[in-house]
Formats: sequence, structure tokens, C-alpha cells
Amino acid sequence: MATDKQSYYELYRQSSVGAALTDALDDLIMETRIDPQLAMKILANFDRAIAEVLQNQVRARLSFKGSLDTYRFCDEVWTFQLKNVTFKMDSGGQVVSADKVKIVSCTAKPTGT
Amino acid sequence: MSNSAVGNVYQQIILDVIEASRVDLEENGVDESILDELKQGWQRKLTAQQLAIFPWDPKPDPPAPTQAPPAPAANNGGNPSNQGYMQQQQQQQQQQQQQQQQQPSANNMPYSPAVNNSVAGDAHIKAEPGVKIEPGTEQTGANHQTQAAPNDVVHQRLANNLRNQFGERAADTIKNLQAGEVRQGGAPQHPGQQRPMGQPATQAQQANAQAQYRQQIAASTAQHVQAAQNGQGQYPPQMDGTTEEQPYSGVLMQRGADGETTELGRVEIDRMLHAAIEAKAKSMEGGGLMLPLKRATKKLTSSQQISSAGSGPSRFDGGDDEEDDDEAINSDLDDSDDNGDEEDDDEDGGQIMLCMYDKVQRVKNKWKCVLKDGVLSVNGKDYVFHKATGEYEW
Repeated sequence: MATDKQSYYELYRQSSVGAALTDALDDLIMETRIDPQLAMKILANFDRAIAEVLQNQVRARLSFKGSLDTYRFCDEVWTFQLKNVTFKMDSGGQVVSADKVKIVSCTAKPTGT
Repeated sequence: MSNSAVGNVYQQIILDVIEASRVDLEENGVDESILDELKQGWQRKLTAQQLAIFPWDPKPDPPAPTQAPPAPAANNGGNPSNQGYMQQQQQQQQQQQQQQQQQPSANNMPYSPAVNNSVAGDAHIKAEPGVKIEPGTEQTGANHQTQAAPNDVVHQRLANNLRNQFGERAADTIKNLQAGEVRQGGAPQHPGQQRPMGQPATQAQQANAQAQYRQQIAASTAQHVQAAQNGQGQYPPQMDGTTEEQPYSGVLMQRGADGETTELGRVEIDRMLHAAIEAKAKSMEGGGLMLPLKRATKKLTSSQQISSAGSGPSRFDGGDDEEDDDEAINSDLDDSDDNGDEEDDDEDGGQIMLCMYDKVQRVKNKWKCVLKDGVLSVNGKDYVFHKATGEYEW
């Protein structure tokens, strides 16, 4: 936990958990129960928490196939747009398919984790 | 199976965030009960999305896990957009309130005919409080205004008649009239010098707030501009304004009192007249729509305050012109913008994977990547994974 100085990606804020948190914080800000600076701190906490939880507590594996529509690599962030993707969760053999999926992926290296 | 893990993972995240935020709340002196609310709001929003089965959801009915929650969930789930709207409304209200507060404070007089077209004027008036704040001037000024009124009303009517009949040509006559009036009525009243001190505010507003005026000059010049505007524009509110304004035409006398400033004043007068006429012409023809593009945009920048104080349409039209201009030059940017829109559509669909990458390889058109620590949101469900491998062809 002595990682206050370490910076985490804000990438996950656009996930559904992150968006839900942002909305909940927005509600509180709208009611002027908390001020935006505090909300930013909470979001920073979220950045760290989700990174740690995903890293330490999730064991599931996944494989997927599809056709790549567009790809982009900018500032060490890969962005893929896939079409006709099928995801396989290898533990349960569960298959999920989707017409279109966007992947945003930051490099795993600089965090040193 | 990673979907079943989502609930626990999210629960863990929520707990971690709440715990970690406790310190921050203390530092900010905020009560910790907020955290409970935050947690509940957060969980409600997640439940509303039905991304997975969450530990905090009522368990008994797996097929429709959120039968009880939907009502509150619907409220909260729909909130973001509503709140955005409410926020806008609040901001608008605040702005309106601010404007309303500004105007009375800027005008010493209870009535302000130029309220509608003097947004920029307020700023200017506020910027030079020195005009009004001279000790005791306002009250005495008001007294003399009422005294001088009857005499001036006659002149005013006369001036209006002249204006109606002869339009712009009568401007000189009107000026003479006003000057004479001042000499007659203003001179004997010695404290009349103070009279105009409260006046520049509204008069400057009426003149659409030409920016640069010094105190006495502004007082006199604004009146000239006003006369010119009425002669040319013939806007009813302006006419109304002058009938009320003219009684305080002592401003001219003030210029006489400080004789040395008269010549400098003419330059100012000319400039203000020019700008006012320009503004009038612009608003009359619809904000530069009919001007050549170059001239229209140039004017927009040179007399931005005027256009911002004027009617809305003219300002927007001007802005559009500029944008069109930019697009004409930078047509390449259009493509990227379009792409951005497409991506936004994708995100709206919610089909997104957020993760870290360990490796991304490509051989010809075959891609392979190794991803980790990801959150995947597909078909309304969330999945988490520790590691993922993807293979796809371009």
C-alpha cells in the first residue's frame, strides 16, 4: 500500500464501475455534499484500487478471436477496433460473441507491477 | 465464468475505495457518512446496469435479480443526463442572477432602458467605479435631475420631433439645442457639475458601451452617440431611453466646465459614433451575413464587445462564418473528426475492453496480443480477466 507516489492509469474510469462511481460522485457534488477536489481524490483511489484488485484477485483467463478493423498505437496506448469477435472464458467454456468491440490497452511495463 | 467473479471483484473495489477515501474525507473535514451514501449510490448505479449479479443485490430471484431495485435504480440510472441538464439550468440561473445583480448596482437610477442590449456595458461600468463613487454625488445629482427635468422635457420633445422629421440631418440641430439647453439650465445651478456623475453609467450603456472613455469625456460623448443612434436607427427603446436620459444632459456642461478636455473629446466622439453606427448597421442587416466574409470576421474581432452586447443571432452568425473559414482551410481535420464520432458511437454501445498489454505482435496481417488485468464489457455484461490472448486478422 505504500504506493501513494505511484501513479495509476485513469483508464479504468471509463469502465462500468468507474462510470458508476463517477456518476455517484457527480450526484454528491451536485448536492454540494462534497467538493470536486475530494471527488478527484476518490477517483484516484479508485484508479489504484481497481488496478490492485484486478492484478491480485482475478485469476480468470480469456481468449478471443476476431477481425481487426482499425488499430492505433499512440503514446504507448493501443487501441483496437474488432469486429465479429468471440470471447472464450477458458474456465467454464463460456462463449460470448459481439459484433464490435473496442479495446483500449495501456502498457503494463512502466507501473513496474 | 469470469462474469460470476465480477460481483465480488467490484465489491472489493468498492470497499477498497471507500476505505482509502476515509482519510481524504477526514483531511477535507467531511463527514464520513457521505461514504455510505457514495457506496450506496455507486452500487445502485451498478445494479441498474445489470452488468452482473452483485453481492449486495437481493439474491432470491436470480432470473430477474433486480425486481425490487428497478424503481430506484431507474431513477438513479437515468440521472446522469438529467443532472447534466439540471446543472446547466442551475448555471443559467446563476448567470441570470448575477446579471440582475449587476445591473441595479451599475445603474444608479431605478430604470434602465438599455438592459436588453447592455451586457457589455455592465462590465464597463463596473470597471470604472470612480465615476460614481465620488462622495455624495449621487444623491445631489438625483435632486437636480428632478429640478431640471421640466425644462429639459421641452427640449427633448423638440429634439425628438426634429429627429423624426429629418432623421440624421437633424443631428446637428439637436446638438445645438442640447448645448443651448445646458447653457441655459445648467450654468446657474452650480452643483450641476455633480449631476452628470451618476449619468455616464446608463448613457454609456445606451451607446452600447464603447470601451474607452474617461469620465467627463464619456459623459458628453455618450450623449452624442445616443443622438446619432436615434437619428439613424430609430429603435423604439432607444427613443424611450433618450426621453428619460435627456433631462440629465448636464453632461455637456461638464465638458464646458473642464474646458481643456473638449478637443480630446472630439476624437473620442468620432470613434464612438463610428463604432455605434457600425454596430447598428451590423445588427440591422443580420450580423454581417451579407458582408463579404473577410470584412464580417474582421469586424467581429474588432468590435466583439458590440456584437456580444447586441442580439444573439448576429453573434452566432459571425462565429459560424469563422468556423466555416477554418474548415475551408483545414479540410483534412474533418476526416479525423468523423472517425472520432464513430468511436463515440462504439463507446455508446458499451462494447469495450480496458486492459494492459504485455505484448502486441504482428506478422503481416495477423495480430497476436497478450493482455492482462482487464475489464470487458460486452452485450450488457461485464467480465474481468487476469490474462487474455487475442488473435485477429486485419
